[in-house]
This record gives sequence, C-alpha cells and structure tokens, in this order.
Amino acid sequence: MTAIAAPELPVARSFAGKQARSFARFARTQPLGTFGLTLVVIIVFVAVFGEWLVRSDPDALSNDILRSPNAKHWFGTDHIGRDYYSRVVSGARITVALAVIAVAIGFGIGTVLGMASAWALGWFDLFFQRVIDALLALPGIILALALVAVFGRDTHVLILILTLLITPGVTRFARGTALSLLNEPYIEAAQALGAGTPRILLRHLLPNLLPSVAVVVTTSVGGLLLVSAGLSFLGLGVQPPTAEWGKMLAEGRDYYLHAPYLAIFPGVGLSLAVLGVNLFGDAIRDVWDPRLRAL
Amino acid sequence: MTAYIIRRLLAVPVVLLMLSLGVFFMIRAIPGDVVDLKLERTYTPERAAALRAHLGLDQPAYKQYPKWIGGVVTGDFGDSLVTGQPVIDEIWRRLPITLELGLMTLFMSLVVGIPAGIIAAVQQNRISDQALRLVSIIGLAIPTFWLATLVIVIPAVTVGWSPRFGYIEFVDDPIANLKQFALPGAVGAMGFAAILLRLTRVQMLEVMRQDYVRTARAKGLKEFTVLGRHALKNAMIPVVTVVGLSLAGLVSGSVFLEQIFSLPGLGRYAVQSVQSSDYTAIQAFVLLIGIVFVLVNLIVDLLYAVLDPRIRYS
Repeated sequence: MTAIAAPELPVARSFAGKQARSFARFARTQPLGTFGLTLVVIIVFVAVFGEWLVRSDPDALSNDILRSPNAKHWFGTDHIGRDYYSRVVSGARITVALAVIAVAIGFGIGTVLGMASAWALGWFDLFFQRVIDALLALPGIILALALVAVFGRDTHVLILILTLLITPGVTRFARGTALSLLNEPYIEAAQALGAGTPRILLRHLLPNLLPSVAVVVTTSVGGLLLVSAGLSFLGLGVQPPTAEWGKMLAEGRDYYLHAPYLAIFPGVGLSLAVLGVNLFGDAIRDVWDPRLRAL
Repeated sequence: MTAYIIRRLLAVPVVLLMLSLGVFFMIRAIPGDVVDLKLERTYTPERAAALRAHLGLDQPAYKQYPKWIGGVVTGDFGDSLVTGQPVIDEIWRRLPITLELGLMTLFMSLVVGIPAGIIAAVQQNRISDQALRLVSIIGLAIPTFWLATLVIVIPAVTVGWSPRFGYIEFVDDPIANLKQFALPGAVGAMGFAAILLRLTRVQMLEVMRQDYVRTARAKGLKEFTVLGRHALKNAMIPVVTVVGLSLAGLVSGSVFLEQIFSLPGLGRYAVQSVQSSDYTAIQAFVLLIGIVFVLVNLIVDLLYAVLDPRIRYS
C-alpha cells in the first residue's frame, strides 16, 4: 500500500496573510468604514503618542494671551496663555482613555450579565431585566446629571457614568442574542454529550456571542464620546486643568468674539472622533450582520 | 398579541417602582453626610436637624419612602433646597419653554428629514442621494453644543450679528417668542433630521421593492401617488416609533441648547440644580422624566404592535 501524500491544506497558509486579505476586502467594500477606521487610528495614535507631539506643556501658562494661530502657536493660545495646539493634542488622550475604559468595562459586565440572565431565566431574569428597563428609560444625559449630583464632579464619576450608560444596552442585547443562541442545535449537542454549565457557557455560547456584542458596542461608542464631552462642556465632567475638548469649548466661550479659533479646533477634534467611530461601527455592522442595520 | 400587551402593561408598575426606589435612595447614596456637605460653614446643630428633617433623613428609609412616594403621587415633590419653594411649581413654570423648544426641534427635523429621506431613496445611489447621506453622516457626528457655539460665533465674527439672549414670553410678543426658538430649534434638529433621513431612506427602499408598489405602478398610478399613498404610508411605521423614542434625544438636546441660548427651561434647571446640589429638585426632575419615558416607551411598543400586525409576540 502506497502512502498517500497529505493534501496541502489551505488553512496552513499564514494567519497574517489571511488577515491582510480580509482587511483588503473590507477596505474595498467599505470605503467609508475604512476612512472611519483611519480616523480612529489617527486619534488613538495622537492619544498614545501625544507627549511627543505636543510643542509645549499643555497646562503651562504664559504671557502670550489669546494669540491667533501663528508659527510658534499653531492653533493660537487661550485666555491664560496656554498653547492651544498642545491642549487639543493632549485632549485626545482623555477622550480615548475614557471611551476605552467605559467600553471595556461595559462590554465585559454587559456580556456576563446578559448571558447570566439568559441562562438563569425565571425570577432572576424577570427582576433583573426590569432594573435594566428602569436604567434604559432615562435619557443618558439625565442619568448622568443624577449621578453627578450624587457622586460629584470627577473623572472617576465620569467613568462610572459612561459605564452605566453603555452596560444596560449591552446587557439587553447580549441576553437577547444568548437566548436565541441557546436554541441552536450545537448547544443541545453539547448538553447531550454531558457538558456542564460552565463549559456550555464559556466554550459554546461565549465565542458565538462575543462578535455580535462587540459590533453593537462599537456602534455605541460615538454616543459615549458625545455624553462625556457634553458633561465636560457643562462643567460636570473632566475638571480643570486637564485639557478636554468639550471643556475647552466651554472655557473659550467668553473669548470667542476676539479669538474665534478657540471655537474651532476642539470641536473639529471631537467631531472627527465621533465621525470615525460612527463610520467604522456602521461598516463592521454591515459586514458582520446586515440584519442589524436598523438606523 | 393580547398576552404581549398584558405582559407589557404588567412590567410598567415594576419599572416605576424600581425607578422611584433608585431616585429615593439617591440622597442616601451620596458619599459622606449630605447635611455636613450642604451646610459647610453655616453648620449649627439646629440647622442640621432642620435640613435632616427636610430631606427626610431623620427617619429610617422604610418609614420615609411611603411618606415620600405618597407626596409624589399627590404632586408634592418637596421644596427646593435653594429657594425653599415647591419644586413642582418651578417645573411647571419651566415646562412650556422646554416643550416649545422640543416641538420646534421636532417640527424642523420632520420637515427636513423625511422629505430628504424620500428624495435620497427615489434617487438611490445618484449624486443627490450620496450628498444627502454624506450630510446626514456629518450631521450625526457634530455635537449639538459645538454646532450651537458655531452658529453664535460665526455670524458674530463675520457680520457682527448675534441672536438676542434673554427669554421673551409668548404672551408678550408671539413673533419674537417663536423667533428665539428658531435658531436653537434648528441646531437641535440637525442630528435628529439626520437620523430620520437615514431611517426614511432605508424604509422607503425596502417598501419600494414590495409587490404592492409594483402593482400600484402597473395599474398606471402616477409616481407621486405610488410613492405617497402606497410606499410612504408603510415606510413610516418604524419612523413613528423612532419619533417617539427620539424624545430622549430632545430632552438631552434641550439641556445643552437651553444652556447655550439662555432659555430658562427644564434642561437649564436640571444643570443649575446639579451645580447647586439642589437634591430635591434633581429627584423630582429624574423621577418625572423617568415616568414620562416609561410611558412613552410603553406607547411606542403598543403602537408598534398595532401598526404592524405582521410582528408576532410570543
């Protein structure tokens, strides 16, 4: 009997090559999404490497007050002589940091709670989902104002607020998706093979649940950015002297007539960030599951 | 569907109970002693005792909650910690301003968003469709408070024009009253018009593929009649619900717009109350908004079930 040569499996090709090809396809079919991703990458880059990009200490005062953009101060200076370019650049950091932390916590907790609710059902599910209803009933900004009233104005409170804004929606979506996945034949098969609860939840349910939850989380990041900058604009979020785009827009309000450039740069930064995550979120939602295309 | 409606109705009191408990325990959740925080340097034992009694902190929660909720049911939300006046009076006084702003915003978004969505759908993938979609994508990304800032700053710097600040009552000067809402209304409408445009476009595209639209065309109806009578009517079903749910967006928008355009409405009151730690005002505000939204969500859900009988609820 002659040995049969094992056929060369296509799977054996390099993982990196496969990733590059699927990215190329994404770039070809989703030009707007790719543009959005580019914006997100740029803003994250600025957030991470901001220290090397700034031209002076963003919080340093100087006698150059309300100077229009010039060679020394690319974006001009604010009412207490701080270099506006450096402040806009360092504003990316807090924006990205807040979004990343809130998304990470909300994604984690929301997925776990949603899964637990779908698995437990019964009284726990019934009760827990009404708590979620109550949280979802309030417009985000009202919930945020109430939490600021209780816990004060602080960056930690802002993180709590953003987390509380994103988690209920994620939980509700994860529960719904988990409920339908639990009806899939492969779950039944795993049960028939004697798999225990942890194994079913972690090995069979979770890997199938995560991608669609991730997509929904991505599409909600834009709203989070707007709430966090909005609260800071109202003076209830990030506190001075930290440079934050929403707060910079509020700080400049008394000087806009003489220094209109103060109203431009932080707003551009914030809008580009929201535009980037919105476009990217829409694109991966379309690619992942066209049925989710609600709005 | 009856079972669905009953279940949906039964959930309402439970959610309202949760909401009221959350709002009630708000004051008790404040880290540290509220009374110390509130009084600071004006602290005397008598004042502290009075404030404690005022906030109902002198009694255990299980005794205080029924008393508080009893007051709420009869419209007594307590007195403001800042003015000493009943909070509900202030809310009633400010409500019309926020309502007028909300209606103005809603009207403008509907007038712009829905026709734009229909045009984009009819002209699918042509230049006008692409342009409208681009505008709506950008419209969704620009924060309300930035746009509001720009519409004040740009005319002021370029042509020296700025809107009048200071609120004018409708009874004093109806035209000036409506005029002062036009600019904030338009700013607030942008984001919402963008959402309506996208939704109307998607729904129209979906409906225009249906057989009954082809039938309407085949029997020789004018394109206008086909679009208006047959397509639009059905495309509007999800739009109706989104308009209901958009109330949340209108409330959020009003918080910023009233702040920037100096309109003494509810949104401004909420921000002021947070800034001055007027806890009773915040409690009343959160609870009332919560109740309104629980009911709005209920109506939207029921409306959806009635409007679209294809949806089955098991």
